[in-house]
Amino acid sequence: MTPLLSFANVSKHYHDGGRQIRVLDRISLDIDAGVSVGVLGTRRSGKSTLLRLAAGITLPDSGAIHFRGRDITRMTGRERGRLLRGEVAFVSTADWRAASGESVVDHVATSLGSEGLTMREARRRASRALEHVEIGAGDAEEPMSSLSPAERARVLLARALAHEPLLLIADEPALTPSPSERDAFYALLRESTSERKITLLMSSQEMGALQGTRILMSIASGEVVSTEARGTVVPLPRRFGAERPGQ
Amino acid sequence: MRRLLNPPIAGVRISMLAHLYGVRLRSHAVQELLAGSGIAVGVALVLGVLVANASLTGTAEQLVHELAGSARLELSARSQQGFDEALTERVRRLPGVAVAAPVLREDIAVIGPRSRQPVELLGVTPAILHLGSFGTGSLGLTSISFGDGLILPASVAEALGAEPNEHVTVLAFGRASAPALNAELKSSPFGALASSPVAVASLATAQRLTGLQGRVTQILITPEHGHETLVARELRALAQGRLDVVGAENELRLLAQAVKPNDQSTTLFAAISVMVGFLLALNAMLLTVPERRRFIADLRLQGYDWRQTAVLLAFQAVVLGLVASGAGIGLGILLSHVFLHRAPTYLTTAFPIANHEQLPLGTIALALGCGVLAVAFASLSPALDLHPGRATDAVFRDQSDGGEVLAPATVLKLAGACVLSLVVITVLVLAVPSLTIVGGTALALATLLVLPSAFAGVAQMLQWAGERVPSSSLIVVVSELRVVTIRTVALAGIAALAVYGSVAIGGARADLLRGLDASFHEYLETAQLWVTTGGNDLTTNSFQAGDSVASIARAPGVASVRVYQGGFLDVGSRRMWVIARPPGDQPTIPASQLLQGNLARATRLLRGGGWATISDGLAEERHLTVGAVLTLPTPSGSAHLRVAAITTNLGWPPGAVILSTADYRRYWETSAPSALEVTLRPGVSQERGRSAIARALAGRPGLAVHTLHERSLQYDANALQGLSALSEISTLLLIAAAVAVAAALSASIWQRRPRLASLKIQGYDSSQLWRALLLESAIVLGVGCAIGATTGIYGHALASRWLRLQTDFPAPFQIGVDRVLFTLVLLAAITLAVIAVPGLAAARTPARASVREGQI
Amino acid sequence: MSTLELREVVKHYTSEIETVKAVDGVSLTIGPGEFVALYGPSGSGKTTLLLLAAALARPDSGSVHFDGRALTEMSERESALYRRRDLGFVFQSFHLMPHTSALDNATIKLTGDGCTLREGRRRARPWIERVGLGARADHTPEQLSMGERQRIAIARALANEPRLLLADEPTGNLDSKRSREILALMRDICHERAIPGLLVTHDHDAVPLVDRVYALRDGHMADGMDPELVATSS
Repeated sequence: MTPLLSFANVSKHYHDGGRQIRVLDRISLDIDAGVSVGVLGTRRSGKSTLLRLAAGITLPDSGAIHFRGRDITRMTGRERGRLLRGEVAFVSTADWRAASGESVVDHVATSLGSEGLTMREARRRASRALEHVEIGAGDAEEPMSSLSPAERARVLLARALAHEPLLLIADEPALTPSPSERDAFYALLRESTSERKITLLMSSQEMGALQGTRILMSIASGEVVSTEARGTVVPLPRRFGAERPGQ
Repeated sequence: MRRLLNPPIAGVRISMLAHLYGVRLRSHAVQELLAGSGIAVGVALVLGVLVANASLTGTAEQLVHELAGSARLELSARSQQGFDEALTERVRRLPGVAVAAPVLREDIAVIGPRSRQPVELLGVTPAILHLGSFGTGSLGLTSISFGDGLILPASVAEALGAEPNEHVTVLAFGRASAPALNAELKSSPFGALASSPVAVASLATAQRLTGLQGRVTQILITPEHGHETLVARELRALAQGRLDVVGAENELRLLAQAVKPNDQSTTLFAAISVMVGFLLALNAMLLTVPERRRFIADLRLQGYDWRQTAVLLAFQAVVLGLVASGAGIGLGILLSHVFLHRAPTYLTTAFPIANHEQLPLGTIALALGCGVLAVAFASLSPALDLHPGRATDAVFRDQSDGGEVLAPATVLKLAGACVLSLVVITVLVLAVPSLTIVGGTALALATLLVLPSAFAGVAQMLQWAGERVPSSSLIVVVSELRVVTIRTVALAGIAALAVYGSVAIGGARADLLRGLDASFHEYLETAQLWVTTGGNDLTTNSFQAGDSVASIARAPGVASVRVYQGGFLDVGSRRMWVIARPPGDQPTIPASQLLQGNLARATRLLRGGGWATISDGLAEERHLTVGAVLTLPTPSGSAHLRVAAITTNLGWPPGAVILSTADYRRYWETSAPSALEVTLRPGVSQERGRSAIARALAGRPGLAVHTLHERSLQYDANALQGLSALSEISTLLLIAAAVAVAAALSASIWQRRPRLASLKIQGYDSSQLWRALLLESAIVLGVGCAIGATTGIYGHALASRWLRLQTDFPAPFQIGVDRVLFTLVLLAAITLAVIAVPGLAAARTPARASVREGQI
Repeated sequence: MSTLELREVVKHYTSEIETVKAVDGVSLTIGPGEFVALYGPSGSGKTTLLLLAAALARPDSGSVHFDGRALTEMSERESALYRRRDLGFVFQSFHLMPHTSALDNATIKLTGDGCTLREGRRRARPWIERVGLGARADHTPEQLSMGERQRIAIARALANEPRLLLADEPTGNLDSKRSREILALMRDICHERAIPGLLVTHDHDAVPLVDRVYALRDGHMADGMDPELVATSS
């Protein structure tokens, strides 16, 4: 069986103040359809880059990324755009900015505009998606800017699910809500994807967020280690480990 | 059905595009408003200028079209006295002539209860109906009754305060009569006629009012199909060289020639306005770029592909462009209505021009196009993110704050381009003066090109000062202006262009006014008192002298009375001003206006007869030099005069001819004066002389006496009024630019609040920050103004040279330091006053703003 | 000796909708040479506490003293002078002057206090060297990495030889390695100069590098290290 998503020898650099930093160094990995994958990594470890590459948002410097057998790196810009419209959904709270005054349902509906829906049809579909994340009709009319971080994370999840994707990519989807809210959100994320047989690829700095994912990957110094290979132990990032204070 | 009305474009429904635009509007209303206002002001400027110009010639064009109807040819008299109306019958009988309609056109004045109005009297016969003139063709009218009174357009009747069936006073050829007002012409079906300064009467009535019994000035002719050439030949034979045979719309050519200098100078202004408007719009749009980019990136992460995003960008550009340009067009119409609609008086003496508003569709389309184009151009920057090689969410990783930096190499290249274009402009304009308008536009561009290097220089100076002067404001300003950004250049560019336009055009205008004033003073100073039909600066309306010369001569205090003659003469495409000087006029030729020839010799030759002076324009057109033979088409046939000297155009754009009254009487076959020049005995004041003559002329209400001083004042007022459109546009441009610069500067200051707040945490207080912001604004403005003033003065020199060489206007170059300073101070004062308030608010930003998340 | 002392400080923000108890009875003392980290989830009042210490906000009740002087009693002019002379502040988003060299950036407080740029550069240069950017003093922020940018900001904060160092999430935009370097640098400086330092952060890397850890939740102070609070704060 062909994996849903596979990276082959993928490298990516970026520039920081004139210096080149290697974020990903010849990464290879396969993700089968229907599984859930958690990527653990510290800030600026390259997990966002990995996820953005998987979504076709940015292109690698070298290597190939296949999604359902098609090489994303060889697609035209338009084809990569289409990927995000149907088969792949991308969620990131870090970059998201609300247009003030826009209601929750309208916010979700506009993201469906690329599929050629009228505003009315898009609203209907948006409301259904919002119900799945337990945001009722009343709350759906509230402006986006009035949401708490936890509610916002759920709306962004609804926005992604409304596209009915095959692969949901979530880059640190819930920043800084309280522990109970956070756990509830991740449970919702796992349930709503497994129910619909959506493959989930998510990242976090926190071990707790990734509990319950079938495969755990760790990313550090440009390398990825995955539990998928039999017998592999994912080395935890430093602060979860045994490094002594003061070092 | 609903779906049909809401088709997808690149897969996005129109309703969705509209909704997305609504989201943008709600979340960035102020930005969008600022962008919209910038565009609207730009479009309004462009439209105002274009409309003001179009209205000028538009009414005359319509009037000529409507009067001519289906007529293709015209037999036209060369003087006000016209020719025998019996000629009409002979024309009608010519083979190939379908219709021939006689017309008597004379300048008259109508006096009503409220005012006196100069109008053109149109004496017509029912034959005019066969031409379908005055829109009668479309009405299917077969007869029209004029009675024995006047028909006045509603606008004229209203200005006069006259009602139908009331009597009004008509002054024509120095005679007064009181016909009844028959009817008012309502706007439709009479079209342009309803708003033109005309009076329509039956031919017989017109002849009675003017005293020109049995005379007409024109015959309008419709030849049978395909016989136009034949009829023209026959007409020329009939005319015997004493009448003009021209196309029925010949007058338009004459008008076009007369308004050409005006047209060209407004064209330059329109070009500058277009550039300023474009910069205003661009600047306003640049401010919205970072926000737009983020909005688009978010949508693209939701699956909008680049085509859909491009459609979205284009949709927003078109909507904003159309709405803002629409508002701009409304504003422009208002502008042209309030400020620019008056027709220049100097032209109304020679052509039937009225203040009729004209909105040619082409002009509106052009203004709309400018607006939409500016928005589209400014939208290009977010569109760069659509490049397939760039990460979809590049904007979230981009740390610039929207002020694109110009690399030093680019600054140098631009400076090089500026120097090169200055050289090209100078060489081009010196070699081919007719390209001055193009040069002026190019100079405006050069003004923009030099700005980056000016800012680079200023940055160096600031750096130097900052190292030596302990000033907390300076260091903040130094760091803001250290690199040259497109935003700073665009901001200063608005100020620079506005100042450039005002200084260049204002300077040329002042030169022209000074030149005209000198020229006209010399024209008038031949007499202390002038007796004319009144209200005509160029003294072109003749009258029946009767016994008036003798009565004036008998009046106490009068030393001598001389008969001055003159009028307009159509020479080729020029409606020339003819000045016939009686012997004893001193000076005969205005010394300051002499371009070629010897004044004393030319004066002597002219008085001796057979010699004339002509304007440079005609001389060049005919390749005439001093001593050459000039052929003029006069009422008695071709007159052959020799050129005694070549002058400026004496203030009349198509040019002037000066000859002696003896020659005029001979060739024009009339002794009717168009003015009586009076010299008083020594010791008699002009006032006393004037009342004495007024008493002597008690029986001639059609004649008016004016002192030299009064006529000078009248002329100055008319000249000022004729050029007022220019000064009004220039003031509007300045104010619009000041407000726009202030708005754009304020907005860019506002965007910097987090950094300002961080300075507060580092110990800067509000007043230090406020001073820094004002200093920075003043420097940006100052650089723009200084550059604009410099190129403006150069542009002024070029424009004055162009006026002298190409239009033959008297326009001696002189830098008006006070005017330049006034322009600078006005712009700077308005701008800084407007910025001070948001600057203060930005300086008072709570420090909290710097500890929230943000960029750099 | 310099000491920052907050006593029973209360600060509420009232909006149309609700009253936020940003800081609700917090007492905290930081002595000379002490480098203290303050943890807490978003909205826990950390930022308000910093603004109070910078004399940019006034508490509703309680007092803030630095070096025996009551910040709460200062006029606007005095508090500006306090920030200019006594305070060093490091931001999460650096707030550097764009296109301006590292050295010139570090002079900003000195020139704000009446120095010429030349004089400012003379005084700021040792600090640029102290943060390890001596060789790149002429580079502009755009030419420097994130970690280096924060170093400039630290040099800038120190150039006026402050007697109190405040930092608002200084490592929020840095990777782990740079974070540790920056935090160690700040700690060393506090120790060297014997000045109090207050660090507001989410960053767990700070725990081993500071002298004491406080956690703030809903405006209240929890003394010492609360693993649950620290864990949830990121």
